[in-house]
Amino acid sequence: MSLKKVEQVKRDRGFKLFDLIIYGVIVLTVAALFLAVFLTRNSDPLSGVRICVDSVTVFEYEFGKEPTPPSNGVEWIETDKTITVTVNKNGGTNVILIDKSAKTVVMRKADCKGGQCLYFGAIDNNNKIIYCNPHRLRVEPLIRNYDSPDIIM
Amino acid sequence: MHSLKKLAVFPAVFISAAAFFGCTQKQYSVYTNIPQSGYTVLDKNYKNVTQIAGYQHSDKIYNDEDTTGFTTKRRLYFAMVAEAELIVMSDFSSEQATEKFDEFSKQVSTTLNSIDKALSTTVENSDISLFNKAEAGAELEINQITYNVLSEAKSVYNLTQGYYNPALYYNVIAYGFGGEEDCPQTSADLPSDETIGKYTDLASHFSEVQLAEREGRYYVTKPEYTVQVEDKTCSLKLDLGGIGKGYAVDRVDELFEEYGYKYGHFNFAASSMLVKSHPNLGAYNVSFIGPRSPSRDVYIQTTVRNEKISTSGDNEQFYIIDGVRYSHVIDPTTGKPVQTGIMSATVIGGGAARADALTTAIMAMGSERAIKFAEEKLTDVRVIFTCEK
Repeated sequence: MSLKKVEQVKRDRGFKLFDLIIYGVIVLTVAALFLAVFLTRNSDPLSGVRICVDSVTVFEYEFGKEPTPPSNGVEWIETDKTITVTVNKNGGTNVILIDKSAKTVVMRKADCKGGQCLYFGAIDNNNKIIYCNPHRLRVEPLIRNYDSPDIIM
Repeated sequence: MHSLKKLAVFPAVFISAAAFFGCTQKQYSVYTNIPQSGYTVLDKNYKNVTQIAGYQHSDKIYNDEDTTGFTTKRRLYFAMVAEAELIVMSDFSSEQATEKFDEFSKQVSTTLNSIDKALSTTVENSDISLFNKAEAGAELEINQITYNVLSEAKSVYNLTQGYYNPALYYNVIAYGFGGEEDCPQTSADLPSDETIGKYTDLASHFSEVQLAEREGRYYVTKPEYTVQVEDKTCSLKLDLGGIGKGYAVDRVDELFEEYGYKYGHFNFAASSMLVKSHPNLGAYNVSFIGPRSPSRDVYIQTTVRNEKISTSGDNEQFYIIDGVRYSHVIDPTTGKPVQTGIMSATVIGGGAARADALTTAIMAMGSERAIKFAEEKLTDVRVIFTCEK
């Protein structure tokens, strides 16, 4: 092996070690980010959802169980991953999408004036609700502790 | 050259990490007149607390009554296009106790419906709908509820020097809130400055709304002032949504007293709330949701007993266009959704109607004016507000 070739091999070995350091730092950083997300994630995950119209329950679903049967003005379609609930009440339509794997609930469509219920975002824990004021419809977590010593406002 | 490229990975990774943590750890300011011993900040993003002077905190948190055997009853109501939740704890073991609660619940329902029928802008023949439809300068007979709420509204309007103004009706509608028009999707959909200027000018004549009581009957007179917007003549219109729920909470509090219920709470759409005593702990721990928390985590906690709470925020009804947040709370000085940096305002204590209107006013004031206002005028109530800046 020529001297030139030996020097090149030495240089390459140095690069490989340096590569390992870089990759190690990347792996550690990704792990740190993952842990940060994991540790700061919501500790009160959504267990199920209830849909009420005029304060009367029209649909209930607990993750992993069967939803309530369709009723007058309420229809749903279930797939492996989602349940799409369509509520036709109070002269309007609301479409609520339940993501069974992500355990989130979101107002997908609404024909109310202003469509403000579409801006509530997804329910992903037991503290959040969605209102559709014009249709007097409310989507809320299934489990709410009404005589809790704490009030969340 | 090759090694330089590899070295560039370092800053990229660290910049990404910094950006990630920077996004999740944005700092917000909290302003409160509650002494430090009276609250706990639960979210590290809200650690920057500024103390406002003037309020003396004194909670009596313990019970002096045996509440063993108490159970909870819950009722939901729908009024003023919002849901209200009633929780009462008492000894419901006897039939009479259950009957008494049912009667109480019926009274709550009747009270809420009466207020809705008087103040609603959507119920066709409510006092406020008739006022809004009437010609400028007209006098109308109104019921006592409307009279009382308008009196309180005028009182808070004067106290806040117009920062609470229920006559910003057209502005609220123009920005897509109130259910009459769709929310703007782009900046081209936003109302013009000229139109907003005219609506704001009209609203500034709220002080000319006159109230009168003659021989046990109540009257309101509409201001003569009108503005011309395109080909329409607009007279002053009202939206008492910013005070009506608080007024309802005050009336429900009276019913709690009348029926002798000491334990529980009544929450009107998380806007106004009556907090009685907790049967085991005395005071309730009340936590407030951080206005910028996507997972609705709470940021501050305080104890409350036999008091009323009202909160306003820009986090429930809003949309964002070109990075600007447009919420349903209108600044009466600009006629546009508040851009003062105040994200939420809470008032604990006093009448709920007054507190309801005060929280709206604080949001429009901006932090400097709100601090001065709280120190000078709100020494009898607890104030908390959060600021983005």
